[in-house]
Amino acid sequence: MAKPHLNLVTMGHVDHGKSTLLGRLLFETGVVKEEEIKKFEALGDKGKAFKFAWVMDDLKEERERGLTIDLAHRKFETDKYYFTLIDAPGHRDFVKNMITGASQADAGILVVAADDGIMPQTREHAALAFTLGVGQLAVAVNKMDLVEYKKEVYEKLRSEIMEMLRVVGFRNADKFPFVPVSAFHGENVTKPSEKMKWYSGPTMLQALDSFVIPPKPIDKPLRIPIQDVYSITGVGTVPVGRVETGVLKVGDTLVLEPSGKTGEVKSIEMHHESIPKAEPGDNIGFNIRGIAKNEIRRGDVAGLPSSPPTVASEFVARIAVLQHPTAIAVGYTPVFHVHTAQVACQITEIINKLDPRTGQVVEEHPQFIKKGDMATIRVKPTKPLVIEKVSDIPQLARFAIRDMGMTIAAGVCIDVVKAK
Amino acid sequence: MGRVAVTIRVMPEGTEVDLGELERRIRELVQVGSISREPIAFGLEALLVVATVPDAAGGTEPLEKALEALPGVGSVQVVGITLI
Ligand SMILES: Nc1nc2c(ncn2[C@@H]2O[C@H](COP(=O)(O)OP(=O)(O)O)[C@@H](O)[C@H]2O)c(=O)[nH]1
Ligand SMILES: [Mg+2]
Repeated sequence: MAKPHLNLVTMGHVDHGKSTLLGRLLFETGVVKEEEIKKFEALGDKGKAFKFAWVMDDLKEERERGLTIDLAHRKFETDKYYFTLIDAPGHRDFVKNMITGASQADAGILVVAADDGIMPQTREHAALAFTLGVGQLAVAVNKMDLVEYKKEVYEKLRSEIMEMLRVVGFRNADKFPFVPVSAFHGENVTKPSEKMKWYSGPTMLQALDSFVIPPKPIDKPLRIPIQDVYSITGVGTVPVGRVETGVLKVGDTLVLEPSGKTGEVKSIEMHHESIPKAEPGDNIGFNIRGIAKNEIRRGDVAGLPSSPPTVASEFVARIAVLQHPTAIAVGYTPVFHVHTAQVACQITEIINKLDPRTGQVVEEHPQFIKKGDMATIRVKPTKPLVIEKVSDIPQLARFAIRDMGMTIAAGVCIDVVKAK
Repeated sequence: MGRVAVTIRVMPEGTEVDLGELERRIRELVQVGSISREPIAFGLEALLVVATVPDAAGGTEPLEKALEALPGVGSVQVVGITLI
């Protein structure tokens, strides 16, 4: 059997050592050769400090001129898996892409520098990982060399991080592997550290191998957010989209919401090949009879009539405000990006405000919320919108809020009032 | 400041759109790392465009807007991002 593939997202506060850790992993697993590292060392002090980071940030000048985009250094393999590395951008505007984007991370590495501890971006990234449904994390407590490889520093930080992960929603945080490492010096990255004999857990590489392939959500109701729709000569109406949950079979009757139109699936294709059924993760086009092209649009969601997609007249959501020039109050109507839909929604009530460090309610019905706040809000879409409760179908519950060209907030729907 | 590699799926308006011509227009408009064809279904093909944007305010939006505005483009969808 072919080795399974795992998408890994790396997260953490800037300068905590994400690139260095990845570069070190690639070097010690043989993807990157000694000569490449030496080449950076020869570039002087900066090259010496950043030699492993530069493996990831290779060919910097050429890249800045837009000449090469080397994604080859983003893959490595172990005996167990092929890994593809996704390094989360620092700017919050990219949160939209992580929420509505098609490449789902299967697992994450959270890097926290031992000398710096939990920083705002550490918490934000952890919360984002939870919102994205990344169910498994490995935590690298990095730069252990800067705290003299002390067990006490590691243990204290470990329990702080675990608490933080619990607060952002990871109830299974105590099952996550925590590894004290020095990415720069290669301690506990792929080889057990001589300097941290007090630690008996896995190396970083072993921690990555302990991840499991998340099961496909085939038992959930069918949901296919529509990306685009075509009328193809000799075929008919062909909606295109990615199956998020459930299974689609040829012969199924589908209902498209919010329109409520139904039709029968005559055939399904993926990569131009005819397939009898499609599963979560499959990017497909399907020929549907009984619905015209102009009766379907981007943002519609296909499902089965026995458990149709939920059209919300109103919903309750938990949000984290990532950035906003002023403050958000009742009446604010930004655009919500949910799966493939983009719909202006009005905030009709700010139910409460939560402390992002503890998750506790700090204020009921505040007048406004601002950057850095977490809140529970009630929302009214300005036109029909399919959104699901996170407890039912998390894949269709997350959203990004955009306004003024910025990603204002990220959130999940926790309750829905059905429109019909 | 870092740069972000963005992979965007560009869907044509229909099967009649000349993808070679669309590819040429995209290359005129943005400095791309690569463009490849992705078979979708029933003869329909998409273009997978890899380009970079700064890890800064605006994110992928200017790039998405620019591609969306090209004649022949039905929709665009960011399918992958990573710092490089
Ligand atoms: N002393 C020490 N420095 C480190 C370690 N890991 C990374 N660094 C340094 O921290 C700085 C930022 O690292 P980088 O990997 O670019 O951080 P990123 O922003 O998270 O990708 C660089 O100067 C690295 O050499 C470590 O384990 N020990
Ligand atoms: Mg980096």
